[in-house]
Amino acid sequence: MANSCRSRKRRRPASSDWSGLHSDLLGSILNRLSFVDIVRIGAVCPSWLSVAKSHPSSTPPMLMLPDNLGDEERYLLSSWSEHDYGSSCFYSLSDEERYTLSSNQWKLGKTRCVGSSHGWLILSEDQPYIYNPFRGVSFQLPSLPSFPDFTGNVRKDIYSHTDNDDNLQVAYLLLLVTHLVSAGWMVTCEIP
Amino acid sequence: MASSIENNNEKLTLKSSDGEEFLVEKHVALQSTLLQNMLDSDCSSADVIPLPKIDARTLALVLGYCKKHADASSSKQGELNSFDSEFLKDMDMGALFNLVLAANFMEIKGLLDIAAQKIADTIKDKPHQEVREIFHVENDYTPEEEAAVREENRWAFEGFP
Repeated sequence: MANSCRSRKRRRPASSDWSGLHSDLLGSILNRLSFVDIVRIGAVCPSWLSVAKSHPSSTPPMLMLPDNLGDEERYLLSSWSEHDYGSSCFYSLSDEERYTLSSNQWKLGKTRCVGSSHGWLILSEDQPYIYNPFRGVSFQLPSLPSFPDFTGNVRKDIYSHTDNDDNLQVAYLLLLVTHLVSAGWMVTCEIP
Repeated sequence: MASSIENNNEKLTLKSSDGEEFLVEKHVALQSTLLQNMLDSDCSSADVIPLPKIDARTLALVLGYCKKHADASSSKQGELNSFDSEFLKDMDMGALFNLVLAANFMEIKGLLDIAAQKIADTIKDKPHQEVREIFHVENDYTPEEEAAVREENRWAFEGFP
């Protein structure tokens, strides 16, 4: 396996070391790229990958579409009643392309998606949790009774929902998610 | 070489990393937030301001940009836009790299913006192997690591080599 260790330590001093570009500078370049371009340039070199992975995408949200429908019914909201996210397809508004996650990456079966924020899906089973389909990362959310004193402005504008008991819960969750996103997600693990 | 005695209220002298001196009008230098802060805090009382990270070729380009923007009145926005798009047009990647570092160091937001946009436009929609070649990035991945990165994000590489 000698070949696989090649050049790891043998970076020759180049006059323009693009792979050593400071993360802030690379970040301001990534700000001008679509999400899919950002993901792709992670394959250029490890240092770009580490910046790309932590870079918040500023591109418009993608539409999540069920993949098990025909092309015509895919776009009909009435086809969504089953909530079967067995495989997943995303439509990007910015480059008008459709992207399909492979089945080994998409691990959701039948579950209930109650909202989304900043690339995270908010899913509800016994316990609510959030899931980033592109990173394949999920975090369990605490149930709402863990927050007896939780107050704040409820951000219903992120998400619309029919008026029922779940509405408040989802709105609280979204607010929580928004807060956690701004806190860099580290908080998530510390919540009992 | 410009004489450093020429420094007065209206002009200042910048010295590149390779020792070349540039006499610059103050209003041109003010395009750089770094220089503006230095002038405001009177750190520039030295006759010559050294810019040890910027070579003469790059500094000449930067100052050309600053002069154009400092001299143009706000009514000439259209002219500035066409200047900006021509400015980086046929620039090689080595020069662009030095320029973006200089714009960042000297805090020249307009120049940093157009340079970052130029780089982004170069990357956009291209396979990562081609990006690597254009920017002369040495491939630090082992074949196994590169395959793993691709596999993890297979959806983004559909239709790409």
